[in-house]
Amino acid sequence: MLKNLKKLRDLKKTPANGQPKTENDSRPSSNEPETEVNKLTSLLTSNLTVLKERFRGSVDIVFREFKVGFDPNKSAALIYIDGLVKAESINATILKPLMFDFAREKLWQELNQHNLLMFIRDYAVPNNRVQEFSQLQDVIDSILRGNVALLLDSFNSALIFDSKGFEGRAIIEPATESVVRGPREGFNERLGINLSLLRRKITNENLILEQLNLGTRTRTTVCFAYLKGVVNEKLVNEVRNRLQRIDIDGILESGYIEQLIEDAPVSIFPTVGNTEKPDILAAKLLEGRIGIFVDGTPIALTVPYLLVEALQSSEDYYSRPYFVTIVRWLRIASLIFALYLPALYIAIQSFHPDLIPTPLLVSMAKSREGTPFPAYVEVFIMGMIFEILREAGVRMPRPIGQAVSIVGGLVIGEAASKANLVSETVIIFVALTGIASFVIPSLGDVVPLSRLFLMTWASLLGIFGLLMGSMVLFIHLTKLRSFGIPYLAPLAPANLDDWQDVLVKAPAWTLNTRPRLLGAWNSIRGRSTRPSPKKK
Amino acid sequence: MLENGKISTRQFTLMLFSLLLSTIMFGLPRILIEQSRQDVWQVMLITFVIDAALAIIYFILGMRYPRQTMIQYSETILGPWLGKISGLLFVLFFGYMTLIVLKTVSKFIDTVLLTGTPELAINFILLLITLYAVNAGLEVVARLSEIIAPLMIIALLIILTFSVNRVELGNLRPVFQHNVWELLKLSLLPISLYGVCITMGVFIPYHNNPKESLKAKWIAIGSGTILSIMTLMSLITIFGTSYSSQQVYPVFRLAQIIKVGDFFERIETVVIIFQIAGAFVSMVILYYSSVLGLAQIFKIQRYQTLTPYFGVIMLILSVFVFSNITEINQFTETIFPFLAIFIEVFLIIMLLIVSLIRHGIKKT
Amino acid sequence: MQKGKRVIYLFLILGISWLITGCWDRKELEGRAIVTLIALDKGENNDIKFSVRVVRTSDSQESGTGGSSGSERASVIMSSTGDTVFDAIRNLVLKSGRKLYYPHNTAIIFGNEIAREGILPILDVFNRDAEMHPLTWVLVTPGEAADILEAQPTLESLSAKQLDMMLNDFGATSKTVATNLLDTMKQLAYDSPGVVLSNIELDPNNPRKALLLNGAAVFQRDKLIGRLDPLETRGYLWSQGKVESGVITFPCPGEENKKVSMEIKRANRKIESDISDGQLKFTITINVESRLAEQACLTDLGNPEKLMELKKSQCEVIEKEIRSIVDKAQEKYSTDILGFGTELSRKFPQEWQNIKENWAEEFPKAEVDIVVNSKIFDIGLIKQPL
Repeated sequence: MLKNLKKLRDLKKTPANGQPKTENDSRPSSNEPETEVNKLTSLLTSNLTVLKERFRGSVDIVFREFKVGFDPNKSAALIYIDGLVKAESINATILKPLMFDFAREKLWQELNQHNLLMFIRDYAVPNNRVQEFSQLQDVIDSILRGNVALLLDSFNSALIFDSKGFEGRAIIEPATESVVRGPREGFNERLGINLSLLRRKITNENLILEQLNLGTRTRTTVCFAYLKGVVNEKLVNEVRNRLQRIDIDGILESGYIEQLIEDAPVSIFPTVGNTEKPDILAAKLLEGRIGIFVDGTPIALTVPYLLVEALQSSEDYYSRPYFVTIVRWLRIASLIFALYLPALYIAIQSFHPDLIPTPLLVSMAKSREGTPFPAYVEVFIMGMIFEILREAGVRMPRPIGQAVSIVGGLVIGEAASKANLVSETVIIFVALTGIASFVIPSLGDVVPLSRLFLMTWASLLGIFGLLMGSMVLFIHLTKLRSFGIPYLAPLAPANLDDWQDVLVKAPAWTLNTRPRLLGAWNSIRGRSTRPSPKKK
Repeated sequence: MLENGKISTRQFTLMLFSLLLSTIMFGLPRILIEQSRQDVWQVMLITFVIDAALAIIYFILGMRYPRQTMIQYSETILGPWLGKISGLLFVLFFGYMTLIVLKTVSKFIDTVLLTGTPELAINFILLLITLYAVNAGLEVVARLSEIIAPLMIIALLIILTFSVNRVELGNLRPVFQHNVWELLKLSLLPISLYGVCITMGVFIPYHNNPKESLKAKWIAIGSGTILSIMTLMSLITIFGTSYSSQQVYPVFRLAQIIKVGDFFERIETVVIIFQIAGAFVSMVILYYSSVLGLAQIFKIQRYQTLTPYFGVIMLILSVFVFSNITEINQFTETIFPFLAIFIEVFLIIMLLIVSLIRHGIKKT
Repeated sequence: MQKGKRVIYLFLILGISWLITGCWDRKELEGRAIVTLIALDKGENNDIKFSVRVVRTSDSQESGTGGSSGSERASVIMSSTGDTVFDAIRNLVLKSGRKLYYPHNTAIIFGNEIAREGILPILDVFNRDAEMHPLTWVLVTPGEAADILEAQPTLESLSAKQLDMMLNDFGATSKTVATNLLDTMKQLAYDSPGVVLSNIELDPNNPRKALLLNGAAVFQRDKLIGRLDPLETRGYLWSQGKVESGVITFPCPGEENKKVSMEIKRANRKIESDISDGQLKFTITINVESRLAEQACLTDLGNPEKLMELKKSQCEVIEKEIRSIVDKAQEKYSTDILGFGTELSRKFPQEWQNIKENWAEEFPKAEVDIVVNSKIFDIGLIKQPL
């Protein structure tokens, strides 16, 4: 794993436009028997033998051999994978025309004057998407993607008909990003549907969707989307290069891609964002970001990803700005709480109890009397129990999950403090911290780790240690970049114009520019002015 | 290039600002009030004017030798040997200031926050994290000060605002007790400490708009002066001159007496921690200037090579130099002004004159 | 680069292991004893007796100690002796076990004897140590300070909290002063030092040892030289412009045996100094706004003429209060507790340099004028009693 990371880093150090690889390069198949046969022959039987050899008798491959138009000399074969295709449409639109309609006298005469393959493609089969391949590998790939291949005797190329018909999930509201106001639809596992959802949001020919096939074994379709004219072309090249550099056997989820293209693989902070909702993705594209889809997962990636995005929500833009601003502050406060509360508790109670008002200090001291552990061990244990409960709640089937949380809350909260194992104050702080970290789900994995880091500092050196720990975090964050954009932008380097969408949420009619570092070269979004009733 | 980063005007300003404010916020108020009593604001204003004038020289030199730091252009101006010596003087000044800030902060922490922790441990932590920041490059240093400087200002304003109910304006009298000559003499010390801002000579070549660096410096020292005058005046009006000049850390005392409502008392630790953060940033800036300067003198490819060694030297020095705060203060009061003014005034004027003679008036 | 990195790593590992084994300042709450009151007395062998009242946070204790009431069990008193205050503070650890924790200390109480010998040497540690807080109240008691610690709170659970509230509300009567450590040190730092601290006693009418603030104590420089009764204390507060509120009572116009109460709402003062004709002269100008709070007589006071009369008597009473303290300061104590010297030094800094040396002789000779202007702005909800 580490070796891979190093390799990746070395790769990134090579200049961005070093050796542009073509798509074919990224499909190496060293141990495929390519040398044997890589072209179709004009003999149907031999072609079929080769194909059967390649699929090695997989049960779901169907080789349907038949004769065209009752003519015993014109043998043909349909090859497809059972379950990936719509059987009815094959029967009705491919087999029926070829077997029965060709038998009619007039057609038959017509046919004999033409090249059979051309005729089928141009006149006979009503199919929406027909391709002609002569490379064996192309034919195999197409079959694997759910197309139907038609092989004809005495022709050295195959016709590929689109007849994909596999089962998928319906478009439903994603559970992770539910909203009160705003579109409910979310991506699902089918790339085509995801792309169509995005297309419906941005009706513009400048929405470019580029496709790559990644993964030497899975050959997963990966697609990245951007808005030409808004996005920085360098960024597009960078993303394309990083994607093409990926050399892995399989990509099952966008998380694979994320880990293989991110800027700071050893940092705990994510430099690639993700979303499940087309409207969020569209908004990010409009700001000059790039979206990456992976076939087979509803999670789309967005790059570059900045820290402030964790504090923004799509609903912020759909609701009126005033309360949203307060909600943003609450999110910032929650982030600070989630990071600092336990560390502050440790620092204050073990190093600087002078900060606590006297009556509170007395009752805190009373609740700590008789507890065996120092404060940081208490906080650590309670924090761990909290994470265990959370994990149990997530993994358990929903009804049991609720039981877990009730039992956990009751047992841990009440009994632990009754039994003098931990003080009540710690429970309050840990609970508050936990709830605060739920407010910013996108930093869900970063916050506990940073919190632990700060807690360690606080337990060593009190508030000064906390300061030093925060400094390390700050320095790390200011060092980070996501696809060339400083991670803390627009806070540091500060861009006061962009703060209207960070610290506050300005009304829509004032958000007329894109984030400066993302869309510097085409920063004007619109020229709307303050809406006012027409004056007479 | 040793450093490829570019900094914006705002970052340039905030770097100098946090450098200045945190250098003069710990030990200096006591000495200033003790020396100039109620006339301290006049002293600060004079200091501001003189330092603003000095900035023009640094600015001119920076413009005459674009893309060169003060260490590099002193070599261009004076030739390889004299130039290296002059550059080394600047570096020594920065190194010395790093040590002073380090010692002041760790002494303060040792007295106020962590009385049981060995000072060496605090120095070690401070230097280690400074090293991490310095190695990350100029842009990180700049962004760090961009984050910390506002926090520092807010903390200081909290102190000033919530102690305002204890102000006794009567303490402002008597005023105008010193004549101009005395005031000039008194401003020697603050001028020498304002000298930390000659780091602008290091940062001008990395400024993305060098023409604005003079304005930026003026804004930085202007706002720094305003804030420090506000602080000094609060000290005088709240504590009186006698009590203030009794205190080793008057600003900390001021933070101790703030009381917000009935529930926020004794919040000095929280407020003062931001001053420590500011001092940390200024240490990073000075440390960075020192190692960058050293690397430029000895033509080393990456200044990062030097940072750990410099840190070790600082750590060792911090054990042997200045065993307590009064020694630092005494040195700052007596010897330091002459050393500092030699470097930040005479050396640079000499550089300017030689430059004018050797490279003509109309260069660039 | 590699070498540099190795150096960093080496130091990182060494340093971090050192830090983790350190943890020098960490002290859990259960290891600390929260001090709420400090009392200082003269010990038997001419040393310093240092007593503290500490909150008892552990409830697992033998029920035999102390009384049975909850508040008594809530805190304990401990004391030790030492050559210096700091010595005594440390000696206390020999008895307490826990580390005594001082930032929450509310007040420092001086016993009579130790105050007569001078409080400045004792206050030093409270100014020097970072654990001590400048807003701690400083008080004096006529007897042993340690006895005051025994006082039981009446409405609060901590007597320190009650004392804090009593001192915060000193303005309701303005019959005592509330001086904290900062004020004390500021007054001592002036050129003409004279300090006035609050005087605390145990309420003689309450058998259950309750606290009572009674007037003030006067210090010449840092030595206790006398006491002020409540009304003189208010005179002192008038002269300092520190009267916040309070009640002035005087005979009813027309009915001499019945009284009227006026409530002070706002007051400010101005001191002016003059040395033009060789004679030191100070003018204290007081502006008061008050309201008619109560009348015991049946006369209709709610008309302008009567209110004018009330105003006049009110001015006279205030002037008498101030005059009493001025006379006492000048004649009895010969100590400038009123801050005239400070005022003089600000207005005439050059002349002050000469006067400073023999200010103790000059001050009693100074002429003091008192001007009181008052205004009655409210008579409450009724115009006449019947």
